[in-house]
Parts: sequence; C-alpha cells; structure tokens
Amino acid sequence: MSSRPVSPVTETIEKNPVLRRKMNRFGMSMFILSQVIPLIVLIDVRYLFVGLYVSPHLDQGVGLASALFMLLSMVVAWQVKTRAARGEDLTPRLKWVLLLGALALLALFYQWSWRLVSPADRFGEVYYTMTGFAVFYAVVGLVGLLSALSRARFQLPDPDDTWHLEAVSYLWTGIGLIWVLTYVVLFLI
Amino acid sequence: MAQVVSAPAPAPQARRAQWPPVLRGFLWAAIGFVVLNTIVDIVDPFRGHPFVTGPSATLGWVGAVVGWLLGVGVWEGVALPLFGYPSRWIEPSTGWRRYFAYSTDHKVIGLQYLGSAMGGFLIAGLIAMFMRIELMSDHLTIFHYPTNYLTAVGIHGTIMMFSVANVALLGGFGNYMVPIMIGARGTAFPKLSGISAWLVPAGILSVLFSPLLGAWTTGWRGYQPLASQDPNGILFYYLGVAALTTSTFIVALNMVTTIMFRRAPGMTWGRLPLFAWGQVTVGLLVLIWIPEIQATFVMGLLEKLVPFNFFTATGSVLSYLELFWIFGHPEVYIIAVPVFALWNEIIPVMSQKSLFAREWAVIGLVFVMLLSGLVWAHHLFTNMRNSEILPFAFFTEMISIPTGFAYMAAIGTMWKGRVRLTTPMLLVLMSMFNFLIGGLTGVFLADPVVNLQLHDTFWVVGHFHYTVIGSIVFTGLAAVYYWLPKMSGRMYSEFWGKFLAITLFIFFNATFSQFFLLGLHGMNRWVPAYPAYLQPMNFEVSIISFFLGLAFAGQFVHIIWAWVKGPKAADNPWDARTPEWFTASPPPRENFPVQPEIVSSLYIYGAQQPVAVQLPAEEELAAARDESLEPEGGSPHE
Ligand code: HEM
Ligand SMILES: [Cu+2]
Repeated sequence: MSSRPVSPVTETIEKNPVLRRKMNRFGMSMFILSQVIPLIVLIDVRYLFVGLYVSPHLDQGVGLASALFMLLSMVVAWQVKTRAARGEDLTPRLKWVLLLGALALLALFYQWSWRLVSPADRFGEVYYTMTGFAVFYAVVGLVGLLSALSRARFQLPDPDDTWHLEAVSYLWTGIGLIWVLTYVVLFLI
Repeated sequence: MAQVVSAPAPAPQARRAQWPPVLRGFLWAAIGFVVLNTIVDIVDPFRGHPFVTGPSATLGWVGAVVGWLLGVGVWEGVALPLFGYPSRWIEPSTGWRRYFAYSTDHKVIGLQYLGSAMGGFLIAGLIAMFMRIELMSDHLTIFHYPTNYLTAVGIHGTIMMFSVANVALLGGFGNYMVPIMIGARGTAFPKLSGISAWLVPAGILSVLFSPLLGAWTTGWRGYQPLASQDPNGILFYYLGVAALTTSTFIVALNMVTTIMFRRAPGMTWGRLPLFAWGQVTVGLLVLIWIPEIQATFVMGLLEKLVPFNFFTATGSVLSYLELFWIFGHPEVYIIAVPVFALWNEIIPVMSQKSLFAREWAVIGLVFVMLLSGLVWAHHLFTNMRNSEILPFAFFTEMISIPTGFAYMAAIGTMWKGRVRLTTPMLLVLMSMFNFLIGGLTGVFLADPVVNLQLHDTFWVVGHFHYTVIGSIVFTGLAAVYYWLPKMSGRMYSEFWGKFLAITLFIFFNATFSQFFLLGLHGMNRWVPAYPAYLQPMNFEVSIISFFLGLAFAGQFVHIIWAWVKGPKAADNPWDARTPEWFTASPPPRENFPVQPEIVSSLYIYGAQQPVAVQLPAEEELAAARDESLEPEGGSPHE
C-alpha cells in the first residue's frame, strides 16, 4: 500500500469540499484568463488600425461615467466573491452589482444611440467592435447575476454551498475588468 | 455513491409524456430562429423586404442554437436549476435514450462526441467523393459554377477540421477515457460538458446548410476580404465554426481541470498516463488559441455583416491571414498531440514493455506545444520579405525534433519487445508511417525556395491529408479498436479489423501519394477546371479515392457490427495496466465501485510487475452495504 501520510479519502473532491471549491475556482480563473486573449487581439487591432487616435465625437463624460459605474459594480462584486469564498452569503448586494452594471450598459447604449461615431470610419469600426465585445460579456454576466438572485428566492442560504454566488460574482469581476480595460484603451490611450 | 449499481429507471408513468429531446430540440430551434429573425426584420427592415437577411439570419441562428440546446434537455437539466426553479429532471443511468439527450455522464458525453465526429466524417467524406467526381474531368460537370465546387471544398474542410479532427480524440476519447484513466469518478464540470456536446451537431448542420444563404469560396479558413465579396453563406460558416470551437474550448477547460483536481489518490504527475498528458498539453493550446481565432472570426463576421473594412484594401489584408494562421498552425498540434500521446499509450501495452524514455515523450509533447506558436508564417511565404521568411523556416524545421521524441519513445518501446500485431497496433504503425510522410513532405514545404513553387498546389493537399488523416483518422480508428472492448464489452473480428486496416492503408496511400505527383505536375488547389494534360491522372486518382471511401465505410460497418453483435470480450484483453481496465466493461455510472488508489507506475512490465491500481476492500464492502440500504440515489450526480 502507499506509504503516503495523508489519508486518501481527503484527496478526492467527493470527500474534500475545500478541494472541490479550489477546483471550481481554478476552472473559472482559467476561463476568465482565456478571455483576456480576445481582448489582446482587439487591443492589437486598435493600435494597428488607428494608432493612438481618439475620435473627438466621443463624449468623454459619458464614457467615463460608464466605466466608473462598472468599476463600482466590480468592487462590490469582488466583495461578494471574497465573502462567498469564506461561506458568507451576501446575495442582496448583488442587486447593487446588477444596478451599477445596468447603468454602465445604459450609458454605453446612450453613447451608441447618438451615432456620433460613424461605424463607417476607421475609429468607429474599432470602437463598435471593442464595445460590442464588452457588451456581449456583460449580458452573459448579467444573466449569471440574475440566476443567483433568482435562486435566493427558492433556497435558503447555505454556508456549505456558496459556490454559485462566488462564481457569478467572480465572473462579473472578470467581465468588469474587460469593460474597464476596453474603456481605457478606447478613450484614454 | 448509491447509483453505482445501475438504479432502475424512474417509473415512466410518473413523468409527463414528452417529446423525444432531439425532436424537441429541432422544434425549439426552429421557433428560436423564426422569433429572433422576425424581431430583426421588424427592428431593421431591409430594402426589398426579404424575410431572411444577413443580420436576421445571424441573430436567428443564435436563437436557433439556444432553442436547440434547451430543447435537448438543458432546460430541465441546467436552466431551471440554475435559476433555482424546481426541476423534476432525473438522469437515466441506462438505456440508449440517454445518448440522445443532455447528459452529465462523461461516458455518454464521450460517445455523443464520437457519434457527432463520425457523422461529420461521413458527411464531409461524401462531399469529398463529389469533389473527386468533379475532378475526374477537366471542365465543370456535376458542379455548375466554380463557386459551387469551392463551397463543397469549404464545407468538406471545415467539417473535417472543426468537427472531426478537433473532436474525436478530445471531446470523444478525452471525455470518455481520461477520467477513468486517472481513476476519477467523474469530470470537473459535468453540466457544462453536457451542454457542449450538443454544440457539435449544431455546428455541423450550420456549416452543411450554409449554401441556403448562398455560396462561399474561402475554404475552411474563411479568408477575408474574399469572404466579404461572397454571398451570405459565409455567415453560417463563421457561426457554425463558433459553435464547434466553443465546444472544443469547453472540452479543454473540463479536461485540464479534471486532470488537475480529480486524479485518484496516488496518481502523481509522474504516473499520469500519457494520453492524459496529451490532453493537458493540448488543453493549454486550445485555451490559448481558440479564443484567439474566435475573436478573429467574429471580426470576420462583422466585416461581412456591417460591413466593416478592417481587411479590405483600405485596411490591412494581411492581418486576417496572420490572425488566422497564428491559430492555424497550433491547430495542427491540437490535432497531433493527442495522437502522439496515444501511440505511446497503445504501443507499451501491445509490446508488453515499459514505455521507453517516458520523460522524453512528455517533454516532446510540451515542446511541440510551445514551438507550434512560432511557425505560423510558413503559410504566408508568398507574401513575405526574404528576411522575414528565414526565422519561420528555421523554427518550422526545428519542430521536427520534439516530434521525433514521440517516434523515439515509440520505437524504443517496440525494440526487442514482444510486439503483438493486433488491429490497433497495426493502425498505430500505419499512422506513424503516414505521419512520417506528412512530416517529410512538410520539410520540403518549409524550404522557402521550394515553397514558392509548391504553394497552392496539390502537393500541399497531399501533405496535409497525410498529416491529418495519417494522425487523427488512423490513430482514431486504432483507439476505437483498442477501447472497443472497454466501451461496449464486445470484441471486433481480428481478421476483418486487419483486413480493413490494410485495405484502408493501401487505398489511402494510393490516393494521396499521387496528390504529390499531381502537385508537381502543376495541379492547383481550389480549381474545378484545369489543364487537359492533367486529366488522365486525376481520373485515375478519383477512381482510387472511391475505393478509399468504401474502405472507410467498411470500417464503420465493422465497428458498428462489433459494437452490437461482436463476441463478448475479456475484462482486460490487452493485459493493459492503466486504470480504465480495472473496472467493468462498460464502466458503471461512476466508473469504479469505490475510489481506486494508484500505488505504482502504470508502465512497468516484466517479471516483478506490481498491480498498480487498488480498490480498497473495506470501502468496497461499505459501498455494497450502502447500496442495500438506500436502493436508489436521487441526485443525478455526486
Ligand atoms: C475521405 C477521404 C478524403 C478525400 C478523398 C479528400 C479529398 C480532398 C480534396 C479533393 C480536397 C480539395 C482540394 C482542392 O480542390 O483544393 C480536400 C480538401 C481538404 N480536405 Fe480532404 N479528403 C478526404 C478526407 C479528409 C479528412 C479526413 C480531413 C481532415 C480531418 C480532410 C481535410 C481537408 C481540408 C482541411 C481541406 C482543405 C479545404 C480548403 O481548401 O479549405 N480531408 N480534400
Ligand atoms: Cu503550419
């Protein structure tokens, strides 16, 4: 038999919830990391096609507002995530995350709806592509947040099973990061 | 752990009669398409008001895929529980029906992937036959316009690459075998994995029916700006490939995490089976390069749809090519790495000899993975400056060194071993031969001077069919024969297996070796009409390729026969030592009656060979007692 000191039963995720949690977290981290790659492609494209140019038609104020909403949303989400990792259930705060995220989206849609940046010029192509990616992620993330809120209506908080909560807020943090980086690259540098 | 012994299926009368999941999937897909398509029509009316426009078809497709996934069972299995709603969904643990619905059993998922890959192969293979019929004469015959022929080439290549080559050994055998081989009782993300399996049929059908929106002429690479000049068929190419690549991506995420976290106690990295090593390395390739190509293809889609001008003459035409090939070459290794790993999985077993230089085999896999990101521009030599060509030519030729490690480990293992020439072994040897030819002809192509001559000729077509069919198809078949007794509990006929393998080998080589000659004589790729002097040879190649098609069909018939009607197989017919052979065939729902433990290396053969896999006896007893107490587990997994 093996001479290993650790009892084998604790080495499987079935018997060891900490390991299971680590596994889930690893998967989510890999996913978020992998989604940095499309962002790199897009950033490449931005500098390849328009260099450092920022269109004067962009409303810097609205852009900043959108990014700040997302940043705040992210901060709250990160709180929820780290607490969930310790077994605390802060589901109600997700409403704030959701609200701020929705505001960020609305600000962006507002900017889009002016069509001041023409999709037919070079900067416009880059602008709509990059923000479009960010919106896609945000919509996916919102569905995740809604799922956690909806769950809370049916299930009592369970300190042993806060992974879903952790997952959606972790995912949202990653998505927020992509959103904010997109803003920085498009509006500032 | 209660449903190790398969629980009786839930009483049927308790459940509302409902549509078979796949049919419901089609229905919901149709509804999803019509609904979103109509919404787009209303929001964004188009000149002339056709019902289906480019944008409406694109969003309609999204609706269709969502409807399809929900319809095959994701609705009850994932969506409802995700939002906390009660779902009475219970996963059946036996019966053929579970293969035609959403499932969380990695073995069911693996077979779904294998089934899709086989379906894709048959479809794309049939299309190849039509292409060969066309090439029997030097002018257009069964295709009425060159664009039709090019669409056929594109569909053939796309389905073969993204739904066969990327799927068979990753989604298929990866899902089915890797968890068992590492002694796990499930995968890391069974639900996600259950969803992703159903993206493959969606992707195949999208690409197959792309001509409904019009022809496309770009081949499997969706080249811009050419794609934007084509009719709308290319939209379904980009969308279908998005579904297929997403599926591959999820497989990699699930496999890498499973191998990291669900290895049995005692399954150290040093003991990890080679095939699992292959999955980890290939998983990293997939996690890096698939998101890259997905971003590129989304830009391609927008370029066509909006339209944008990233890749037209006013933008940067070369950028698309670069973005494609920086994924495109690693793609070759996404295909080949699990193949190399499988060679070195099967050969030690069939030679009953310890794997030679195991560390070097692993190092080879890892270095192939690393180098594969440094060679992409060898596809673009015709568009480059001399000074840029040199480093890429150099790295391309260098990559043959770590590839050589796989050969070295394989040959070293066979050396002085008692090699049993069974069908899987025979197919592995053939695969090694074919891939060698593919590699050697590739070295010619890596040479810039030669490349400028051979670029875009049938030499290239011969080269990549030798590498791709040589690797994935021959080794994939070897894997099917090797694991058939495991997956079905039945044995194939050794005579027919060998006979068909030899036939396949002969017709494969007779067909594709002549592609090299055709290329040297000046036969271009992507042309349905060509100079008359090439006609006799093309005619004869086509005839042989029809026999090749028959040889493939014969393989499938034999495999299906063995699966259903073959004689019962022994528990461990090959005397293999990896954990998958230490459980029932086919394995029970949770793979092993109890959590196994690995106590020594899996690749040591010889007089003092210890049994590497142990199933603790006390636990086995306990498990048996549990089962008699609670006869049926309620939750579908864990
Ligand atoms: C069943 C036997 C097969 C035959 C007879 C066959 C034949 C052909 C032919 C004639 C072409 C078109 C050459 C041209 O006009 O440019 C082609 C292209 C291609 N084939 Fe196959 N093929 C077979 C199997 C496969 C398999 C198994 C794969 C991969 C798993 C594959 C991958 C491709 C790819 C990627 C292309 C390039 C498509 C493009 O140019 O975009 N083929 N094949
Ligand atoms: Cu290459």
